[in-house]
Amino acid sequence: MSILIIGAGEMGYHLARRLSYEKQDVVIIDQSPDRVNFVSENLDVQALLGRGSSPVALEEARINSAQMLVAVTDSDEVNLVACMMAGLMNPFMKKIARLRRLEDYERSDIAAGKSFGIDLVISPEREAVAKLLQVLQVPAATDVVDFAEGRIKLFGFHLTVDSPLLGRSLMSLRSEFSSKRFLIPAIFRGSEIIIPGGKDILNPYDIVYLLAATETIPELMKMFGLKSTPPKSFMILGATTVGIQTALSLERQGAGRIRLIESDPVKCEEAAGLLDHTLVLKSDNVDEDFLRSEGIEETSVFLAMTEDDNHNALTALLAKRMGVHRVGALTNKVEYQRMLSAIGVDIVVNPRLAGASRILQFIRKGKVVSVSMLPGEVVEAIEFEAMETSQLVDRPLRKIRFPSGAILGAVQRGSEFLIPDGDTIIHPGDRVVVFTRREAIPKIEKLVTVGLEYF
Amino acid sequence: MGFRRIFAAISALIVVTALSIATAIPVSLIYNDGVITHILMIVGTLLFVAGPAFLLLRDERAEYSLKDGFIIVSLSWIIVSAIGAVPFWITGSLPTFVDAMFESMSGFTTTGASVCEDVEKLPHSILFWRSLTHWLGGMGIIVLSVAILPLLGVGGMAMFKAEVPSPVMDKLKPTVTQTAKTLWLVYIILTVAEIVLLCLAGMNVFDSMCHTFGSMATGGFSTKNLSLAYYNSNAINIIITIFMLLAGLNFTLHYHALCGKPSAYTKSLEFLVYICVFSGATLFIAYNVYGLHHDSVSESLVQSAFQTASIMTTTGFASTDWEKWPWACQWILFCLMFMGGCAGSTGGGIKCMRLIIVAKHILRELKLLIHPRAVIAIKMDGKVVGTPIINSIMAFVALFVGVWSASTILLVIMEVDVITAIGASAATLSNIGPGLHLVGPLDNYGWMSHGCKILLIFNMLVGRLELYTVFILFVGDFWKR
Repeated sequence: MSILIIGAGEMGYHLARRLSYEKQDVVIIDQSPDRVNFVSENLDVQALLGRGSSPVALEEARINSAQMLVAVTDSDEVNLVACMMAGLMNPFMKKIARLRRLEDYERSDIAAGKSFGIDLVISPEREAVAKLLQVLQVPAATDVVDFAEGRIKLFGFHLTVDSPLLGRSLMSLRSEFSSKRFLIPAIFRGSEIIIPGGKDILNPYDIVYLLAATETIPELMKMFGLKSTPPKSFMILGATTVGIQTALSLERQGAGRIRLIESDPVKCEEAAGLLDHTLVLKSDNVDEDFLRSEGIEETSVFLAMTEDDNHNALTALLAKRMGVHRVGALTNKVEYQRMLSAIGVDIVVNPRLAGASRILQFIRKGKVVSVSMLPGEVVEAIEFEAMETSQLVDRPLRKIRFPSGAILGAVQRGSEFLIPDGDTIIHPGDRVVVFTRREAIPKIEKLVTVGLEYF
Repeated sequence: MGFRRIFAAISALIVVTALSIATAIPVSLIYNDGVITHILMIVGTLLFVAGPAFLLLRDERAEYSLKDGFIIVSLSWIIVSAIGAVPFWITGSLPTFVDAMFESMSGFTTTGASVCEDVEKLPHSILFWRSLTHWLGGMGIIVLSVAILPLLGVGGMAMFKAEVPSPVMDKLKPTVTQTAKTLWLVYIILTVAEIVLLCLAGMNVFDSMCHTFGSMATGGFSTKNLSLAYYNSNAINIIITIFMLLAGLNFTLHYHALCGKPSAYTKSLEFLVYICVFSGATLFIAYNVYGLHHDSVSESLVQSAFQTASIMTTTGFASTDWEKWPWACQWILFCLMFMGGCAGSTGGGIKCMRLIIVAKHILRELKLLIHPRAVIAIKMDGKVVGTPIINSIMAFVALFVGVWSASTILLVIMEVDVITAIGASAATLSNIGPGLHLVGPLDNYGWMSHGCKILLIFNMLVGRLELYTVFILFVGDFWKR
């Protein structure tokens, strides 16, 4: 499939990289020569210099033969014009646009998608908030991915130095908790990612990923010595789009106390107008004294959501040191993701990554239900529906040659959740979750050929 | 730098080379030239050694960095040339390995300088392989590998860039593999057209294939001692002149033309300069040789056009002994040696585009003396050429002249006379073949000492890979982690 991306910013670059690894034909347009050079030096895609809203540039990028347009510049206007232009030049292509100010359209009669002939409208900030709320739902989790419409959850958690799981091998865990069905598909240790076997041992500071049926999670957490009480009070720093939207969503969920801190008086006014129960605080400097006076000790979740990545990271760490159990920080850099979680930030929110993942899911729509990249982009979780024609079905898994670096994680059959073993037989129609290293993706694709298809 | 990755890429290239040598097998069978066992042995050994490595490392989905690219390209050109030399050496066609290596490097780099005194004595399959090295090296052995092997797909751009002779590389297609395939397709289409035309003009199939390989790749190996003077046919000379000129053009333009947009040619400044220089030089030479060496106007036009195209595109075929021409004509041809073809062509030399940009840069400097505060952009076909590219081009030209002078001096030290040394180093560095005086159009390099030959082998390599790719390996920083 050939895909035309407008804008080689953090989001466009990330999308182009993922798509070129999947051997798609990608053409990317940006108006900064530096970005174009950077992309063409680092990725196997065609990078062109030009304005995404100009018909000349689109023509040069062979828009007529492209099947999809993804407009992800920082400017809503450019993205909209690019999509409209694409509609004129190639009416059959799918169009995806990033819109930052989606709420403007929601308040008016104009539907951003339909009115402009756009197939998917995406707001990275909104995706980030949705992802953040998913994570907040599971106490102590650093990351949460939903499968099978939320019936299965994959979540990551930090192993603290006092965790009862330390020094245990996965095999011993499995035999002790044999009554519970769960799977540990990945462990992050420093910069390393391990797809563990039975003999691997859990170390302090590991981030362990656990896959289980949603209803069994509270019980599992209790057994693993993880804090499972739902958070009572939130403190959010920064009245940015993400900050305000998070507060709004938390209000809607009826969460406990919410406090929003912002230095800009205008933004404070705006936030106070939008929010009902949240206490909006105006403060220029966020230091220990201020945080203490606003009751940081009783806060269960601290989220640093300003536009400044560094400020977010440092304030989150400060809050953590002052005793907040879970802290989150917003970053716009994909490279910061892993580092932040390594230095102790529990939840890393990255709007661009969240937006890019959503777009990738849309692009791969088909028999694949969802695709999620775990942090570090080495391991991918693919959820698909087993087809009758696939090599996987109707025989015990033992008889299937599964590529190394990949494991079949879970099977959801109706309302039943299974962790498969060698004797499991997959039926057509089952939802299957596979964890795989990037290298093994082509082999997995072959294995479920009929399952993994692009439209 | 991962040795596994580099090894994987090189084993793939060896397999490609072995399969290319195998194409000489049918030629050997048809002409029954007695070297079939040698060729089978070489192909067998290479496949036996590199085949398993290639299959084992095939799954290595490596991402090559720019650094890997430089190492792989330089190393593989040396290795491939060394392997390509084996058939010449083993069959006894050339006496020593240095000679064979010279011939092979001259083939792959599309230089066309020969050490062989009597090529007509060589077995047909060896002659075929000798010309085929041109054809493979012309579009680039790595571009070929990228086109046919998915192995080099990711990060292949780094190698692609290091091999394709052009200061700025534009991708025709979204991925490297597709770009490489497209370029090879254009190359093959033009090659087939030329073979057919030469057959129609009365050359036999074998010779027309060999001469086509020589001209499409701007190489210059002929199957005759007298090169094209042997045929003394205007039809053949005109056909080859046209195809040499086509081969010296940017293949991106051919691609656009084949896609139905012939206006791509006239929109390109480089094309216009190339054609103007060609026409001007042809007319000047024709005027000077008319009546002196050639009797009719048409004869002198054909000969001067052929010789101008042959030198300017860095092919190096000879249709006549132009050393007998007046000095002015010889000097013009010598200057054209430095210019070479267009960027993105199969030709060597400094390249038209670089010289145009240098000229524009000089003009800008002059204007700046008059209007010190002026901001002047250097444009190529309506697009601004950035300062980093201009700097790199200026340095390239300086380095080119530097390498040429240095190798001339070294040749003179090794007791070659000055005129010959000047000609030989220019002819090898620009990948032309025939130089001046003792290495003139109808002479060869066989008489030189091994030291000189090794120096010229190096010249050909750095000339083909456009200096930077090879010279970067001599910079200390490159090897530091």
